[in-house]
Amino acid sequence: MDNVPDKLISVYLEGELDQEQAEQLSRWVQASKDNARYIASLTALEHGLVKHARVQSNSDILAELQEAEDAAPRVATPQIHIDRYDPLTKHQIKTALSYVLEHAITPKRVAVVATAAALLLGVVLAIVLLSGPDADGPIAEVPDWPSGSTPGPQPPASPTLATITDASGAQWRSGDLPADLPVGTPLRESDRLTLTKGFAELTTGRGATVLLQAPCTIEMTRSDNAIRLHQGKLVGRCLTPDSKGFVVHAPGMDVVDLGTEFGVEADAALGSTVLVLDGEVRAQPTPESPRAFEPVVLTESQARRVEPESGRLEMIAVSEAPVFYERAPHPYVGAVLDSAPVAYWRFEGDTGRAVKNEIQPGRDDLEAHGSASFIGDGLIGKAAWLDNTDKQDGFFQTGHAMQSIDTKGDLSIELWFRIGQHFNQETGSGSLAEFGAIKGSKNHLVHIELQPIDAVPQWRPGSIRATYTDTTYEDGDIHGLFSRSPYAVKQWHHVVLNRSGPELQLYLDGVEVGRYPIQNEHDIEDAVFVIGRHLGLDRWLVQSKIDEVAVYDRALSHEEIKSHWLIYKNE
Amino acid sequence: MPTENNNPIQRFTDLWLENQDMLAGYVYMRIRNFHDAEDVIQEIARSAAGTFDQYDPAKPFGPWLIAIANRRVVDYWRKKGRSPLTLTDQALQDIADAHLELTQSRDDRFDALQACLSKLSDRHHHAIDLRYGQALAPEQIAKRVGASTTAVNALIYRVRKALASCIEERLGRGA
Repeated sequence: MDNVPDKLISVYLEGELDQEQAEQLSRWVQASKDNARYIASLTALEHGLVKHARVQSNSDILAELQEAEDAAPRVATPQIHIDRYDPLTKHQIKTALSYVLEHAITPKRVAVVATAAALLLGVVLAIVLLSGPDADGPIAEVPDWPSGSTPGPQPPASPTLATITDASGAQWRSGDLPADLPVGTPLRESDRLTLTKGFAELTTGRGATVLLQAPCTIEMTRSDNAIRLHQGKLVGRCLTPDSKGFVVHAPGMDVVDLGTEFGVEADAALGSTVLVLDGEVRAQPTPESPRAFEPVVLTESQARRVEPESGRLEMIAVSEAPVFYERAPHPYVGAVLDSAPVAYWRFEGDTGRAVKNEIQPGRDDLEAHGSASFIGDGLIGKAAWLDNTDKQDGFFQTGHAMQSIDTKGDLSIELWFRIGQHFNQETGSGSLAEFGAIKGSKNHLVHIELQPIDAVPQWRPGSIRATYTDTTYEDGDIHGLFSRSPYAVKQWHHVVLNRSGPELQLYLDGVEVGRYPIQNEHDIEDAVFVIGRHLGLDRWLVQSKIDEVAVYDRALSHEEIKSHWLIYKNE
Repeated sequence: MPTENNNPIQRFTDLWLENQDMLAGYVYMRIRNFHDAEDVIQEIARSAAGTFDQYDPAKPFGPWLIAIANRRVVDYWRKKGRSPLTLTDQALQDIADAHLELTQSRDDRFDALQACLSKLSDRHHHAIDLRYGQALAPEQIAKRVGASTTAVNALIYRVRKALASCIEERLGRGA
């Protein structure tokens, strides 16, 4: 397939092509069958996603309708009763079509039959995929939705089983409850909540706290010391004597607290996973499948997963376990996560063999290895201390095959640094971060470095310099982007380097400090990302604190960069 | 493979069911509105059924259906009183041909899509939910999450690419 014009296709899929773009994309499509196939597969995907969303949404409605129908007295027999719609087999549609074909139409009336079949298809699709409980058509004959507004005395409210005790950027989707659930909202039996964004903490009647991490769907049971997790992640913490024995009912597994802190994830494809963060829990089969596996007591850093197909409990490595937040993350961290980096090294801990990547733990090409240490007093929590005064090995480096970042596409590197003193000519430049090839000394793609304070004027002493591809020096011409003013010592600085189309852009402390045209496209293989040194040059080693390093496979916008900086500044 | 059947009703039904997803994908591409596309598909069904006796069974049904679909799409935009800024006729034809090639594996595709969706990270799943589940425009998502529209577009496109790649991988290995 020819070089994929990603931006153009993205605009096309959003229906916002202008004339020139339409012509450009048409030329690309016509250039090869593979290109046309690519567009076809993406538009088919687009339709599939819309369809999937409709099916998901209406599956819930149909399930509730079915429950209502089961519970209420039958008032009429539907002409075409929709028992269950299977979106994968379309069994229901076929059944409905067959019904009409067998009972209503004669073979001679082909056109009428087919039209009726098509209309029925549309009706069935409309009913199944699009309609709500008040839609016209056969489904309207299903008994009324149980109403909460029945006249007359209302039954007393069921007891409070838990309360929302904290929230950070939380947005809810919660059936009968309002979408904006404030702290203090009581939760009662059968309340089912979906946290669509942010974090929220619940405290049960017995004192267990539960941190929900969006997207997550939970339901209250009858107990004030249990919760049902349908989908998503939560962390349970049981520090009070009363809360001991707190249970998380996940699909295929019940997790029982034995005085501890633990994370549970329910994932339809992967199965349910438990990871013990502190203390002990017991993982046991659910009452529905009491012999699926033997109950097991787990201790700190042990993880188990229930295989969704077999129902068996499998041991998994901690590195394969999901990332659980023990508390709502700092607003800055939330903002970075919202910008969807492909890698985000916070230097708060490691996975046992690599710096922990908050985005895709366990992915080899984004695992950063190195000997630099983590120290306190970072921008947020800990920071990495890159000390290259003696050993010259205080840096981190990823694996050789960075599958996650297109070396020819847009990208953004965002980081914070804080140095105690300026560099000088003797110590050389301080390389903060670099994305490039390990071989040779001139194979970097993008590079951010600190200039020595005693450099000659044309090298902008004490500035931050960013470059793209090989820097060539001809007739004294020095390429690269330099910050206008020197960076300060003993102060955190926010640096963002964007590769955006044919430009390199450097931001310092939320402000763009320069742009630089990329003159030569440069392709490299076996790219690595390195923090704290210059690839191939041992001398360019930084001595600095560095924190919150994020890599994106797109250029961050000016607004995002500014907002990230402001979160820190406003604190 | 379509089953041999002399009953024209059953034959039409079989052919329609075989091609309906391909058709839905294609029509959606031309209309870009799920509800309107469903209406147009009903129109196409009416047309196809009404002229089914003109269909030459020796030829594939899909292209015949696409030809009808093209006319109904033109009608649709005519009724709307405007014509969308779109790709050239040749490019559209190339994409239509490509859609036809996808036909046989369409059910598998939806199957694969379900599986691939379940493998998305929470954040990507959330993005897809906002865009498709809640039908929010990129601008609305951007406001909601406090990011730029460009960032949202980029993220959603990246997820689309990842899903497309995952689907191809699954279909390629016969999963």
